[in-house]
Parts: sequence; C-alpha cells; structure tokens
Amino acid sequence: MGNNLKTGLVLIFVLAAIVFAGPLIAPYDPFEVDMSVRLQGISLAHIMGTDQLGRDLFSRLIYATGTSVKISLVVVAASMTIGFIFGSVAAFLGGAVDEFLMRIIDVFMAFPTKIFTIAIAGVLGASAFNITLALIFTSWASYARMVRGCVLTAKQLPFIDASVALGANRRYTIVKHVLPSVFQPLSTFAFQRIAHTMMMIVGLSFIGLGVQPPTPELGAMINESKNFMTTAPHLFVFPGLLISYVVFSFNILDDSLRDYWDPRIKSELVL
Amino acid sequence: MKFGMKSLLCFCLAALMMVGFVGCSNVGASSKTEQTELKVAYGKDTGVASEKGNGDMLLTIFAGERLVEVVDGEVVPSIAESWEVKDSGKTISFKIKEGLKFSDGSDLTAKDVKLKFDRNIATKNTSWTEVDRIEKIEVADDYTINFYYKDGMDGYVALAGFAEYGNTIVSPNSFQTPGDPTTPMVKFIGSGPWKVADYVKDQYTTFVPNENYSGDPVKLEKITVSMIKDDEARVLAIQSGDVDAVVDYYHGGSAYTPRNLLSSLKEEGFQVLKQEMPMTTVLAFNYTNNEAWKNLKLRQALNYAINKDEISGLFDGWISPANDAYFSDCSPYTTALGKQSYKYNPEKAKSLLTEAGITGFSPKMIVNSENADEVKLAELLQSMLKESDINLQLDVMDATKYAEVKKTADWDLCSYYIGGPERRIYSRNEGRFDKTAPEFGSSGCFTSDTIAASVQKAVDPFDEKERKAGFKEFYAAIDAETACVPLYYDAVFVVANEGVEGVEFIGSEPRFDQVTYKK
Repeated sequence: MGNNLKTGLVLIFVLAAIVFAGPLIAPYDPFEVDMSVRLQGISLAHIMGTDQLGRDLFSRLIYATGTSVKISLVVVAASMTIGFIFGSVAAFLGGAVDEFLMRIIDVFMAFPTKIFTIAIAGVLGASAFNITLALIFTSWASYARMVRGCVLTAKQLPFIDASVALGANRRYTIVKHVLPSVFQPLSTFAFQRIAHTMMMIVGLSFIGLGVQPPTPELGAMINESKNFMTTAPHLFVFPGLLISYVVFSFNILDDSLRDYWDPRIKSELVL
Repeated sequence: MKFGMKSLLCFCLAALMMVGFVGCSNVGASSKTEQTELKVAYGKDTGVASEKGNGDMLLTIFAGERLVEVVDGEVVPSIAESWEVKDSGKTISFKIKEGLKFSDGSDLTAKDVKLKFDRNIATKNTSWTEVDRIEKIEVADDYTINFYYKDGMDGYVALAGFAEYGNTIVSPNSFQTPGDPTTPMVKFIGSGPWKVADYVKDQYTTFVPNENYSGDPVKLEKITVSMIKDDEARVLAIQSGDVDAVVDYYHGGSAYTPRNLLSSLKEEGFQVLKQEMPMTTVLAFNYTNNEAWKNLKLRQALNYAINKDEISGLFDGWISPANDAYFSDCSPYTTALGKQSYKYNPEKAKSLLTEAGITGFSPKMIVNSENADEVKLAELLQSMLKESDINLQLDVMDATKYAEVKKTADWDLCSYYIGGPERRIYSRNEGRFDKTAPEFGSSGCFTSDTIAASVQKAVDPFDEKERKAGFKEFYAAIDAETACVPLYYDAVFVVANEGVEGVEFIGSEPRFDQVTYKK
C-alpha cells in the first residue's frame, strides 16, 4: 500500500468521522440562534466563530459537510447503478438495443452537464432532493458509456473465450469474469466523480438552487458570507478550507486507488 | 572610470525618479476640487422609454413634477398653485401655475395635464394613481382643470393621489406620436429640476439641469445614474470609485444597499444617510385561505412571540424595530396618537395558543430566496417562534415561484409591507386594509368590517381634524384586530463619498438638486 493511498484513507476516515459522527462532535445545535453572540470571531467558546444569527460555525460546518458529502454519495451511487444497468444491458444485448440505448445516452451527453443541472434544479425548485434528482439525471449517462466500453472490451478478452470453450454458461461468464473486470475502472471513476459532484452541489447551493436554509451546506454558507468578507472573514475561510479538504481527500484516494489497482501505471511512474 | 559613469547614470536616473514621485505625493497637495458631475448607482432601470408605464420613481422625482405633493401627511401645491374642492368632494378644480415650461421649452398647460391622466386611463394604469375614481376630466381654460369623481369615489385619498409618481405630468412630445397618449412613451420630458440627456435601457441615464425649471436651479452640471442590479455590486462600485453615491430604490423595501454593509461602509469613510419612511415590514397572515388565522388569539400569539429588537440587531441596528406601533413616527399623525404595540412575551404567546386550543402549530412561511435579508429574517423568526412552541416551516423559493405560490392557499405566513413612500400613504393604507379599494384584490394585507370603515375615516375626509381622528381609529383598529405582525420600520439610505454635500430628503425621497461635490 503506497503512501498516497494511506494518506487518502486517513483523510477519508477523518471525513467519514465528521460526516457520520457529526452530532456527537458538534459542541452546539447548528440551528440554535443566539443574537447576543452574532458574528463573533474565533474564541474558546466558539472555535470557528459564529455567523450572522449567532450560530456556532464549527457545529454548522460539521453538519454542512455531512449534507454535501451525503448528497454526493447518493448521487454517485444512484448514477453508478443506473449507468451500470444501462451500459451492461447495451453491451451484452448489442444490436438494436445497444443502438437505441446509446442514442439515448448520446442525447444526455450532448447537453453541457452544469447548465443542464442548473436548468433542471431551476425548474424543479431549490431543495436537496431536487438537486439530487437533477444531478443523477445528468450524471448516469457517463457511467453507462464507461460500463458499456468496459464490458465490450472484456467480452473480447481471450480468457472469456477460454471460459466459454470450457463450457461455462453465459451467466457464469458474466458474473465471474466480465463484471469483475468492470468493477475496477468503475469504482475509480466513481471516486473521481464524488469530488466533482461535491463541487457541483456546493456551486448549486452557492447560487441558491441547492440545499435551503436553515439547513447548513458549504456552498450556501459561503454565499451567506458575501456581505461579511471584511468584517467576519471566518465565515468564508472555514467553509472554503473544508471544501478544499473534501475534494482533495477524494482526489488523492482516487489517484492512489488507480495506481494500486493498475500496477502498470505504478511501474511506469517508478521507472 | 567606466564603473564611475554607470554609477553617475544610476544616480541621475534615481534622482529623476525621486523628482517624479514628488508630484505624486499627497503631502502638500491642494484641497479638494469642486466636481461638476455626480455618478450614482441605482438598482433599477429608470424606465425613460416605456410602452405603457410612466418611468421609475427616481426618474419622476428627478425630472418630473405633479399637480401636488404630499409632505407631512398634507397635500401641498406643486404644478397646481391652488385647488378647490366642490360639490362635497365630487369635483376637484386645480389652478395651474402660469409660465411653467417643460424641459423642451414647451408651455405646461391644463391640456397637457389632461393628456397624462388620459394616458393612465387608456393604459389602465390605475394602481395607486386613483384614476379609476375619475368620471370626467374637463379643461376649463389653459390654467384650470376640473376632475369629476364617480359616486362614492371621492375623498382626500383621491386628492392625495395626484401626488402619485404615475401622475407625473409629461410633455405631449414624450409620446411616440406627439399628443397621442395611447402610443408608447419614447422620452421623458417633464418639468422637474433635471432633464434626461441620455438614456440606455438597463445601463444608465444621464441627467443635466433643466434650464426651464421654475424652481431653484440645480448645482451640479450632470448626474449619471448607473443601473447596477446586484446589491453587492453597487457597494463594490462605490468602494472602487466607479460611482460617488449609491441610492436605495425610491419606493423602499427592495434594491437597497445591504444593511449589513452599512457599518463597514461608514468605517471606510463613506457617508451613510438614512431617512425612515412610513413603511413597515410585517409578517402577513394568509387569513382568507386558512381558517386558523381567523382566530384573533392565534394572531395575537404570533405578535407576542416575536422579538423585534433582535430583528433590528440582524441588520446591525440600521433599521428600527416596530416596537411602538404599526407605523413609525414619520407616518401621518402617529406621533400625536400615542403608542400601541405587542411587547415580546413568549409565555403570553404560549398561553394565548393554549386558550385558542392550538397545539403543535406548524405554519408554513414562504420566503423569496432572492432577498437575502428576507431569508435571514425568516430563519430568525423560525428560531424565535420555537420558543413559543410554534414550529415555523420555511419554504424558500425563487421570485417567480414565490409570486405563483402566493396566489394559492398553500402558505400561512409571508413577509410583506404596509404603508409606503409618504406620497402614497393614503392610497396604500386603503389598498392594504379596505376590501372595497380597487388595489385590495392584488395588494391587500388584512381587512375586516371595522378596519375597512376606519380606513375610510382616515383617508376620505378633507377636514384635517376628521382625518386625524380617523387615523387614530384606524391605527387602533388594526392593532386591536392584530391585522399582521409589524416587524421593523423601513428606511431609505444614501451612501455617498465624503465630499458629497446637500442631499436632502423630502418625505422619504432623496433629492440631489442642491448637491455639491468636492473630491
């Protein structure tokens, strides 16, 4: 296990602790308003200061990270599942079904993802559920195309022919030989997409199309800090740092996993 | 020797640069110089050209005049030097000042005044202009115009309506077909202190002095009003020196400098000028669609459950909490009437809810996401109401959806406003609280038979004593019936560079006529 992978796993572990053990770590109720301590800087009582309504920023950041990461995971998991089904069906059945499904995928991929997502979220209305739907709707096609490509490649491999020649049935060949060869690139791709999806969610919330107040969310928190750039910079510095941390964690894990699973890349890097 | 020459050259160059820098120094610089132009940032387009409209409020104040104005609750002369109320109010006859001219040099006569009202009637521009009350307009001579009112549609509110922005008198040459008020307005030719020299829609309007203006001439040679829609962008514009002043929307309530930035702007050395206006931001009940709000005790509970001082704190204290009454002291006759209000008392709120037999109350508040202040206000209200066991649900949505949802029954509470700019105070009170007023259908806030009757007593009488008594009754009625929850008193702000002097507020409207600017 390389150092990068270890670092990635540690970073993700810390992130998972923040996301799933948030309520235990947070010193205050993230929704608790206390106007007597509004816009306070860093102190022992509030280690990251307070916001416009006197809410503890540290507690809100913990919840906000949870909100963004959970939505990202749901989007990636759902898109991956849908993409996997569509891609594998197209590749296995081939012919007219493949043509039909691929044209649908082409239609989805023809639209600029970000603009398409904004349009859907705008029409559906701003909410966590709606941006989740919008992101799944615009993300699954890329997974489907990738899965189809992997399955078609796997189908051509000599060991698949060997398996068939030895008398393995279609189901056995798919489950035991074809799908495992898809899993590795698919999971690498999914890890890469988590960071990307996270940035999309933060961006949508920043422009008011994502998670709605008073639910804490990183993008929305940065948006709220606009008027306090000079008077209370902690309001945008900490959410900004946390976004960087989350994206960096998933990116480093994605890179190191790819290296770990593909020794050829690793050896090339060493050479 | 070679080295010596190089050194000499370097020394000479350094000396030259030093001499150059002396000119850049502030030390010993001359005092500020008088400027002839002021650049102003504003959140709306001035609407100089418009198919059916009458131009933005800033435009009508800068470049226009009306028959009368409303100042301190009283109708005062403007284009009209006097008026006579005849037939117990059914006829109002105006005597127009002689010698007035529009900015294009043409004479302003009764015929031109009639033309503007004909346009408002033809384009159905009836909201707050009160022209739908008019039965007939008659030009008696060049300087006399008579307005005849429909049965039951007369009153002081009709007279005050002549001060409405939409009733600003413009030259017949303002229209696409000169003299035809049904054609679009293609330029704004008024009789105000300024005239429009240049206009690019949604970008800027340039005002220069109107040499035909009958009042005191303006002091600056030019004012450029740049339309900058985004609130924060206007602030950045003054901070970067692109503009010299930022003005809130003349109507109040929107397109204003974010209240949370005012303190830091003041610390940076900008002037922050404030004028409170007779407009109150309130929490309105959807009482027509939801039976629960017909319960007085519930409405009272909401009033007791809200701490208005904390709301003021949310805006760094730049706006005043509505602690004293439904309207601030700048509304007509409020100061003389004594103060009435519900003081913050969550325990009282809880006991009222118990008395009303309401438990687990979870009203839904719709919130316009495009107004950041409204969103924060809603979050604060949610937290306050929780203390009184009211579980406020927030439904935050964009402006378009907000407007659609507001027409439906699917909400309980929303942020709204009562009152308005001073010149509108009569028509606005009627439109918000009297179900028989034409504006009530689209702009009403709350009504009952008692409130509607008291509004009429406040806005109809031509006699000041009667009006004052009517206002007292009206204020008492909306307070007793808890028509809404007054939250804070609105204000209009001007943020200006240090050297800008002479900004004057008439009513709630900032005037730049006597402004001088040293920079």
